[in-house]
Amino acid sequence: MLVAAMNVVIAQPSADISARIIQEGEIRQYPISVEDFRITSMVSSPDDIRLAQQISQIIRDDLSFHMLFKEIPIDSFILSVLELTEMTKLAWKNMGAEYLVSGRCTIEGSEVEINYTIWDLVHMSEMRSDGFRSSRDNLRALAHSVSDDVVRQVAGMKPLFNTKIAYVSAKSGNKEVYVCDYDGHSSYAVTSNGSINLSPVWDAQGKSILYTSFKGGFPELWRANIGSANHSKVASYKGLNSAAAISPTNDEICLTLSKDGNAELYLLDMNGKIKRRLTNSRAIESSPSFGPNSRTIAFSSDRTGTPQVYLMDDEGLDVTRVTYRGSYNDSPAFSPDGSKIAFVTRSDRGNFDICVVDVTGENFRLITRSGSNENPHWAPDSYHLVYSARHNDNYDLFITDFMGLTRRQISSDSKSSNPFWGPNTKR
Amino acid sequence: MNRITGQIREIEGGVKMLTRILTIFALLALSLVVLGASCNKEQPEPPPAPPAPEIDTTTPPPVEPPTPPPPEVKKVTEDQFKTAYFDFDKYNLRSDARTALEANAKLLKDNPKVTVMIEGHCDERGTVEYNLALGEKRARTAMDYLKSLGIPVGRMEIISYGKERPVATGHDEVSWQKNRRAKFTITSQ
Repeated sequence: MLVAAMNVVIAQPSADISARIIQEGEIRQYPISVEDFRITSMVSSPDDIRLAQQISQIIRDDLSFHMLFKEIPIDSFILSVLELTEMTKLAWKNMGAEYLVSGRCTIEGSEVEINYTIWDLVHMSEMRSDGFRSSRDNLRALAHSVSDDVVRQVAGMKPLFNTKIAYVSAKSGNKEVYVCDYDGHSSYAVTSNGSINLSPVWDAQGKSILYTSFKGGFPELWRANIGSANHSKVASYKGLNSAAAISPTNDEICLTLSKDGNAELYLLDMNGKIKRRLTNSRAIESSPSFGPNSRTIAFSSDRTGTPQVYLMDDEGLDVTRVTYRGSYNDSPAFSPDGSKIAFVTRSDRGNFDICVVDVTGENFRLITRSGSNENPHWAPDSYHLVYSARHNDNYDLFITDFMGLTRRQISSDSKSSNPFWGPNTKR
Repeated sequence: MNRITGQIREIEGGVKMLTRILTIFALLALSLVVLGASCNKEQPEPPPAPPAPEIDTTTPPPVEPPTPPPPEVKKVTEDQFKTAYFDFDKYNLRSDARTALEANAKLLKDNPKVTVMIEGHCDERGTVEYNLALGEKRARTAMDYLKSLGIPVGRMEIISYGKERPVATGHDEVSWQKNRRAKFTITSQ
C-alpha cells in the first residue's frame, strides 16, 4: 500500500515503545505505585488530609490510564501479612511495583506545595525529586504535573495530563462548544449562541478554537480566543465552511468549501483568506488532517463512489490512497509524529469503528468493538486518542490508546460528541 | 278496451265516492245550522278580508350587479411542497424523488412569486463533516433538477444541515430513510 515513496516525514517517537510490545494487543507496562502523599503543614485538618489523598488519587488515575503504566494499588492484606502499619519500599517491591511515587503536601492558606520523589524499586534508588507550588484552585493541574514528570522520567514519553479537550455537547438543548481537562473534569462552555455549533479544532498553541456555526444562518467558520473569550468570523464563503484543520506550524487552515459548486478542500491563511484550492473533483472532499511537516494532508474523498482516505501534498498533488479495506473509510487523523493515521471505518458489524494504521500501511488495528464511533483525534504524545461513541441513545467521549488496550469514558451528560485533543501548552 | 273499462269502473267508483262525500257534507251543514240556531246569536262578524296586495306592474329599474370582491391571493404553505428522499450515502435522484420535485416545480410555476430554500439532510451514520457535504449535494441535486425543469436559479437557495436536524430519532432504517431528505421551505412570496 503506502510506501516510503511518499514525501512524508516519519519522526522517530520519543520513546522506543516497540521494545515493550510483546505481541499485537499486549504491551509490557511499567508497574508503578503511588503512596498517599503526607501532609507536612503545622496544623492539618481533615480537609487537608483529604486534599493530599485527592492529589495522590489524581496521579494514580493518570498513570493507570496511560498505556505504558500499570498502577499497583495498596493492598491492606499484604500490610497485615507483613505486619506493617504502612507500606515500605520493600513491601511495594514485593507486590510487584518497579517504581514508586511518594510525596508530601504543604498547605499554606490558599496555596499548596507538593514535593515528590520518583523511586526505582528495582535498583532501590531515587530517580528524581521535584516540587510544584500553586493555588488550591489549581490542585488538579499540580497533580497532573507530577504524573507528566513520572511519564517523562520512567518511560521517556511526552507529557499528556495537563492537556484539554474541545468538544460539542447538546446538554443545553442545542449543540455548543465546550472545553474540559483530558480526564473530563472542569468543563466550561466556549459558545452559548443557541444555534448549531460543530467540529471544534484547537490551534497548535492551545490559544484559540476554530469551529463551524450556524449562528449566522449558514455554516460559517469562527474563532474563539480562549483567553479573551472573543469570537470572530474567519470564513464565510457561499455554501459550506466546515471541517477545518490547522497546520502544526499554526499558520494555515485547510477547510472544506463548496463555493464553486462542490465540496472541495482549500488552503487558507489564519485570517480566512484563500491561498489556493487543493482538490478538484466532482466527489465530496472533506475531513482534512495535516501531517507533522504541514506539507502532507490526509483527507477523505468519495471519488471512487464511497468515502476513502487519501494523502496529498499541500499543492493538492501526489495524491495516494491509504485505505483499501472496506467500502467506507472517513475522518482521518494524522498522529502528531506522523507515524500513524487513525480513521473511521464501516466495519463488518455494520457499524462505525475507529481504526489505526501505520502510515506505511502496516499494522491495521480496529480499536473499538461496540457502539457507533467517530471523530478520532490524537493526543500530543502520538500514543493516545480521544473519540466519540453512541451506545443506544447515549453520546459520550472516550480516551484510549492506539492499540485499544486502555479506555476511559470522560463525559457524563450522554450528549457529547465531536472531540478534539488540544496541544501541550508552555507553562 | 280493458283500459277504458277500467277507467269507467274508476269513474263509477269515483262517482259513488263523491255522492257519499256530498251526503256527509249536507248532513254536517244541516247540523251546523241547527246548532247555530240554538246558540247565542251575538257572535261578532268576522273581520273583513284584507285587500288584495298591490301588484306593482311597473318595470323595476335595472339593478347593477354588485362588484365581486377582489380574488384572495391564496398563500402557498410549506406543506404543499413535497420532500425528496435519498438512498444511504447517495445524492442521486430516485424516481420517487423526481416525482416529488416535479410536483414542486409545478407549484413554483403556478405561484411565480414564491422563492424557496432547499435544505439537504442526512441520517445519523457517518461523520458530522462528511454529512454536511453530503447534505449539500442532495440539496444541490434537487435544485439542479428544478432548474432543468425551468425554475430560475434566482428563486432557489440551498443549505445543508448534515445530520444535525433529524425528523426521526430511531436507530433503524425506518428512521434513517425519513432523515435522508431534501426539504423545501418558503423564503418569500
